Amino acid sequence: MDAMEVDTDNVVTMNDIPDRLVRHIFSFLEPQQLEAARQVCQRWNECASHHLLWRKHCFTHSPSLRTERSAWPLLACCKPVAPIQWRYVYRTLQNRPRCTVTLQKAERFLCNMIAHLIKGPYAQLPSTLVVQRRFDIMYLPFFLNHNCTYFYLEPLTEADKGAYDDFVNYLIQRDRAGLVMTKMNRFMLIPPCRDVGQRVNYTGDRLIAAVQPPRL
Amino acid sequence: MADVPNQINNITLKLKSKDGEIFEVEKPVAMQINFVKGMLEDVDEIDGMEIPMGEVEAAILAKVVEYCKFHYQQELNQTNADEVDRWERAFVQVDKSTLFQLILAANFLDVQSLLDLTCKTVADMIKGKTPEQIRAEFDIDNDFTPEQLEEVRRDNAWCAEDR
Repeated sequence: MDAMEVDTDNVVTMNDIPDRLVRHIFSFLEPQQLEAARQVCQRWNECASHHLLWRKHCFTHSPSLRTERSAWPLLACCKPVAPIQWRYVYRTLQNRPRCTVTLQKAERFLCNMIAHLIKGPYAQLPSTLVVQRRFDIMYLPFFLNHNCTYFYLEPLTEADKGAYDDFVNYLIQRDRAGLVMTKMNRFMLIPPCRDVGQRVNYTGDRLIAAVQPPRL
Repeated sequence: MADVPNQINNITLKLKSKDGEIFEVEKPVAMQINFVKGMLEDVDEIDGMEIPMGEVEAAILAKVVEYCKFHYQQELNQTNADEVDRWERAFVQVDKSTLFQLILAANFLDVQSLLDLTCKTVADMIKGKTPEQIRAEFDIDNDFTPEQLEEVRRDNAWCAEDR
């Protein structure tokens, strides 16, 4: 102890900080650090488990949860019905494979997206999806076989949203899906439609990417 | 004419700590304290007015005033972000008791940026530590029963391997 601190009456500790402010301190922690804080003592466990802290991390991880109800069953495996167990939702999100991808059309940058794996065996997405062609969605049933892997695509940030929405609307208006081909795989970027809706149980208005397994 | 804005800036307020010490502070500096700002809303004649600052002691009030002065100057001079960062990091190099008193004062006086700075400083002390190290850092007793702790641990096994 410093000589300055001999007057123990004046020593203020974490115990003197009200819960609301403890939670404000915790709001600067990442999920893993929150989990460590939960193991410190009963009071910290309560504060670090607070749903608002975990809600923030869920929304940072998957921004669509904030605005799109239909995304909940796909990403969080539950419906957005109170009381939401945000800490468990975060765990579900964390366990779901995902990656960020850049969308290009005719060599032009459109937007960055988060791709969440929602169905099928894990498949690697290339870091850049270059849309080369478009095809009528009436042909989708020929392409979407039971081996396909599906990803839910959402804009990465607010700044990506405009170009993302434009691209989806462009596909919707023409009843088209986007096609991306690499040496091994065929990737389809599918706007909201019945075929894909039935296969992944999704009724929202975001893009779904379907990956055909490599042709051997 | 040219004197008028000068005169307005020259208005000083007397901020009075819990232990009776008076801090004379220029109005625009003091106005960063929302608690003071709120006090002045219904008052016409404020020059030389004495404002009690609740439970905030002189040593802590001095730090709050120092913080507000820097931020007032920084906005006037457009100090670059690196320099502000350096200054703020030096500002929070204090013992824990002072840091926690600053948190309570920033909360009571409603200075959001100071509250964020001080809370973030405490958060940085938590980062990268095990629960045992955190208890040692903040002198906290483990009041879990072994069963409870086991349950909390099991509950977060999902992220354990990354630590």
